[in-house]
Amino acid sequence: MNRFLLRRLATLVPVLLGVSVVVFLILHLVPGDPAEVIAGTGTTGQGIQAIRHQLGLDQPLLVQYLQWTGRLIRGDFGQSLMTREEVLPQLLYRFGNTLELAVGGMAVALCLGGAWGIVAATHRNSVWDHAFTMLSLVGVSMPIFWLGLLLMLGFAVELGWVPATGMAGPSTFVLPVLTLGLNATALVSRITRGSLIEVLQQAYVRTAWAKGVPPRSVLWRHVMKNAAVPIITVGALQFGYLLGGAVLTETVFVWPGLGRLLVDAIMQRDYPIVQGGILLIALTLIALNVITDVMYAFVDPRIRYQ
Amino acid sequence: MLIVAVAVLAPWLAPHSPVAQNLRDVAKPPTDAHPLGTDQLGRDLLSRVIYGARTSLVIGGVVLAIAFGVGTAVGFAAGWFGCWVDEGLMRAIDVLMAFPEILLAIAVVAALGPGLVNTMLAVGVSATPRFARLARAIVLSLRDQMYVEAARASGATEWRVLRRYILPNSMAVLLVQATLVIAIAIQAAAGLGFLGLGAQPPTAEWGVMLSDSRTYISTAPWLLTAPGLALMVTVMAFNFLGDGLQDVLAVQIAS
Repeated sequence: MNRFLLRRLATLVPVLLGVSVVVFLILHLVPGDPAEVIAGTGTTGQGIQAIRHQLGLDQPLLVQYLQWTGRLIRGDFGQSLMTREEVLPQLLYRFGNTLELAVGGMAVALCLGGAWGIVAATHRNSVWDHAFTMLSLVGVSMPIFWLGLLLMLGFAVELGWVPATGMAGPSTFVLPVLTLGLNATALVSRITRGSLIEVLQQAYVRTAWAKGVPPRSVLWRHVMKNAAVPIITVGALQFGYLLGGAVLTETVFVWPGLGRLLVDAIMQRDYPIVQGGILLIALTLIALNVITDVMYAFVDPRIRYQ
Repeated sequence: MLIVAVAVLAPWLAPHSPVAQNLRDVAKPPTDAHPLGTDQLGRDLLSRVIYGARTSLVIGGVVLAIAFGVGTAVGFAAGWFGCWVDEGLMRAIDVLMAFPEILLAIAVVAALGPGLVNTMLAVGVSATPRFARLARAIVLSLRDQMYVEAARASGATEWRVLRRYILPNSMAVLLVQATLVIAIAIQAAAGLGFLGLGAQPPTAEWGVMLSDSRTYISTAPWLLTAPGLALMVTVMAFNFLGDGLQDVLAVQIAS
């Protein structure tokens, strides 16, 4: 197990290096002189020079990269170019808000998608199953921001049950979480259905049926336990997709999360925030992938020895 | 097919110009002259939705060209040459895959600046890993086939083997992926448009139109139904096409 862990962690090194290079290059791929672009029109040569110096753009590229990563490792993500505030506390606060949405959405998706997937798999070719196939196709094809707008129109504007936008108390939580959750439900239910159907065809399930185990027990003791592993794995990987969806959902509902911060920062050319935000999400996903792999190896010993 | 036809024939189908403003008819509900109503600047919504099909299909096509071209080339090279070429290219792809697709697209837009052309580039880059991994897997499975060995034995150059033997035999799988990527690309580009990072006004683009409709959600809800529905139906059509192709081609491969 320890060897597996070490090997898995070793594969992280090139990925982390690559991710940091990509994020570093965001600033340097800006067409023209980044300092001039950040300064905007109407800034004097001196002003531009000051920005160039603040961002260290007057240094050679490699030196810049090393200095930048050195600061990152010490937890220094720089200062916002607009507000002069430290970037990291701001990022973490916003990220917390985004995580609330993502975790809530994941819970909705696992409950709804899981339940529906089970029904579809155990009643194959029934009306439920066909309705499932149709609806999951609609769900996959429906842009998340449109789903959000429709929910907003229905529940906030027409019915007036919950506020349309903002973050103030549990009632504002409902629509964004529902949006994210419903969007991910289509995928979760597909995976659940597929995984269950595969297990249902196994010989040991037939044996269980043959020896007269009650149906409820077959489903939960024999089938679900074995089908759960891929569902959880893919569920964890879906989290990244959910974080991406959160960026759009936050814009619909004016939710003060990381995605909203990121988009605003891009508009204002506030590069330290842009770089920090993208890095934070990428690091979260990498960590999540490692945790999933380790968990998977823990549950299924065959994987450790590959 | 219908959507392609609508996109091609947009100038003839649309009853009005998609950008002509008529400030006397601002945000009117559907009438005979404007079957879907008008938007906040008095532009005919039906015409804008029709022209939006054009924008989205162009995006889908360009994104596909970028992702398919670069991704397949990378995947083939990695799978064919193996060892350090494979290692290097696949690590690079791993790095790209560490970002959620929409985030990677946002990162590229952050560097290059918002706009329609940059959106296509950004979404194209973010979809590239899909083709790279798929193409690599295909090459690995075909590399040791008899006919490939025969071609090499008879003195065909590496380039010729790849082009004449590997590529045609991987087309079926890549084609299925291509239709799905178009669906994803259209959705992602509309998402960027919605965020204000993609196509810029006054371009008729569904994501931008939906973003505008948000402001008028209580006074003019019809602004949000039509573009969203168009977007969903288009994406669904490509998903359907992908599923259908997969069924047809899988049968072919099996027989």
